Amino acid sequence: MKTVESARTRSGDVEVRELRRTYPGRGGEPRHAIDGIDLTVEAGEVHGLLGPNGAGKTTLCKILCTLLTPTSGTARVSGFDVVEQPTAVRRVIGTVFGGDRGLYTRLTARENLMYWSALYLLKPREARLRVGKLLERVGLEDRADERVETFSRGMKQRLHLARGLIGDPSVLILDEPTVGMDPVAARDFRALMDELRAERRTVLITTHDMAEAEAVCDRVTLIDGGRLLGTEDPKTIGGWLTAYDRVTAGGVTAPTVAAMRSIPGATVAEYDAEALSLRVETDREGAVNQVLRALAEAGVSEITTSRPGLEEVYLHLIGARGLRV
Amino acid sequence: MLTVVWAEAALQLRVLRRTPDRMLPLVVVPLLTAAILTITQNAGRADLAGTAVVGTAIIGIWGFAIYIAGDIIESERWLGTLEGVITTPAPFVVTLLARIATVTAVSFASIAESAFVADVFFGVHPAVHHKLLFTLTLACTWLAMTGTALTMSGLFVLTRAIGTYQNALTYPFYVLSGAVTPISLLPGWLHPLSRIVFLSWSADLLRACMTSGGVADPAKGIIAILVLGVAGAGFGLWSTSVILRRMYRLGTIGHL
Repeated sequence: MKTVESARTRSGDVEVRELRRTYPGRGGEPRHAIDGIDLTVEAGEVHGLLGPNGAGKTTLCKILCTLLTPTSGTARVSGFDVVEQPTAVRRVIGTVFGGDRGLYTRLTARENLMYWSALYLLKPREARLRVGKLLERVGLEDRADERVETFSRGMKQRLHLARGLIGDPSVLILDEPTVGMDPVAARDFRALMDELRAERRTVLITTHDMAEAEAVCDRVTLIDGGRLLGTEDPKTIGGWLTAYDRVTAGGVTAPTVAAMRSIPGATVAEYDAEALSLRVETDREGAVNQVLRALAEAGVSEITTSRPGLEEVYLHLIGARGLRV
Repeated sequence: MLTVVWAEAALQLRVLRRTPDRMLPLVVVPLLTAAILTITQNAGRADLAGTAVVGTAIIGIWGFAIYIAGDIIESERWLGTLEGVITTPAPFVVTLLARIATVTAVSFASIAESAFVADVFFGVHPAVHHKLLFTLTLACTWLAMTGTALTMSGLFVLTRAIGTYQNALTYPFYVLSGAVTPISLLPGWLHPLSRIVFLSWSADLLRACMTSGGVADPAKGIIAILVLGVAGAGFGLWSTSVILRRMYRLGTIGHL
C-alpha cells in the first residue's frame, strides 16, 4: 500500500493537509472524526474515499463543502481555503449528499432544478437550457414535471446528481451518491462518472461499496477511524475482492478437507463431518482457483463461491478495529 | 442577486400553495373577525368595527410570521435542503430574507380577509380615510415584520421545542400589539412594554387611518415602526450569523 505522505508535495484540485476535526466525546475525552489527514485529488481525477460507516468520509466532505469548520489543519478546493474563502469554494463546487432528503418534495423535478440554478446565479434562459439537458442526462426528462414526492429513492438520487451539476462545477463532492439506486441506475451512474471524467471535472466520491469504487475511480483512498490508511489504484481494490473469495461446498469427504488445508492462502473455516458441508476462506489471490480445482478433482459438484463485503475485507486488511464505529 | 430573490419568492409561494396546512394561521382569521365583530355588534359598538378588522388582521400577520417565517430554517433542516442552500454561491442571508419577506407579504392577505368578512357577513364597510398613510404604514409594517421574523427564524434553531415558543409568542403579543384592545385601554405598566412592539404603532396608525378625523403625529408612528423594524432586522442578521457560525463549528447544519 502506497503511503499518502508522497502526496504532500503535489498540488491538486483538492488539497488537505494535517486536517483534524474533533468532537467532544463521552466523559469529556475528544473524539477525532478526522485525525490529521493529508489528501490530494488531482484536477480531472475521480477519486474514491472508501471506508465503513463512521470512518470520517462524510465529515471530510462536509469540511470540503464549507459546512463544517475543521479543528485544525487546512483544506483547499481549487486553491481556495474552505475556512477563509468559503464563498469562492462554493462557486466551484457541486455537492451531492446521499439519501432521500435534500430536495423540495412538493415541487417537481424541473422546479427543483430551476430553483437551485438561481442559487448558482444562472440567468433564467441559461437555467432553462441547462435544466433540460441535465434532466435528460440523468434520465428524468419524462418525469420532469412530476412532484419529487412521487419519485422512487433511485430517482431522487438521480435528481440529486443533476442538482450537483447545475452550477457546472469544476469540483464535484459526492457523498454516497448511489445509495438506493437500482442496478440499472447504478450502471447509468457509472456512465455518468465516465462523462464527468471526460469533461475533466474533479470528483471526490465517498462510498462503502468496493465494487463501485473499483468501477468508477481513478484512485481510491481508504479511510478508517478518521485516518487515511493509504491510496490505491482501483485494480488493487478489485484484487482485494477476488483475493478474499470464499467457497462453500457440499458432499466433501475428510480427505478432501485435508487437501484443502494444504493449499496456501486457504483456510477451512467450517466443516460439518455429518452433513459433509465445507466453507473455505481465502486471503490470497489465486487461492480460490486451487480450492476449486481440488474440489473438482475430488468429484465435488455442489460448489458455490461468494465475495466478501467491505467489512470482511477490512477484517483481513486492518483487523477487527476497523469495524468499530 | 435579483434572480435569487425571485427564485426564493417563487419557491416559498409554491411551498405554501402545495402545503395547505401551512395556511392555517390565515384560515382562522375570518373566524376571529366574525367572533370579535359579533361581540362588538351585540354590544352596540358599531364604532369599533374598524378596530376589530385591524386587530384580527394584525393577529393574522403576526401568527403567520411566527409560525411560517419563523420556521423556515428549521424546515430546511428537516427537508435536508439547508446544506444544499448553504453550499451555493448565493448569500444565505439573502435567500432567507427573500423567503421571509414573501411569507410576511402573504400574511397581509389577512387584512383583505377581515375586511371581506366585515363587509359580507356583518354589513360593516370599514373605510380607509387616509389611503397614503395606510399604504405607507403597511409597507413599513411589512419591513419590520420581516426583520422580526428573521430573528425568530434564527433563534428557533436553538430550541428543540419550536411549537412551544411559537405558541408562547402569540397571545402575549396580541395584547402587547394592541391588536384587539387599544393600548390606551391596557394597564399603564404595560404601555412601555407595548411600545417596543412595532405592531402597537402599526395598529394605532392603521386604526387612525380608518377614522374620518386627522391622524395625530403620523411621522412619529412611522419612524417608530421603522426604527423597531430595523433594530429587529439588525438583531436578526447578527443572531442568524452567530447561529450559523455555531452550526458550522458544531456540524449541526444538517441535523434534525
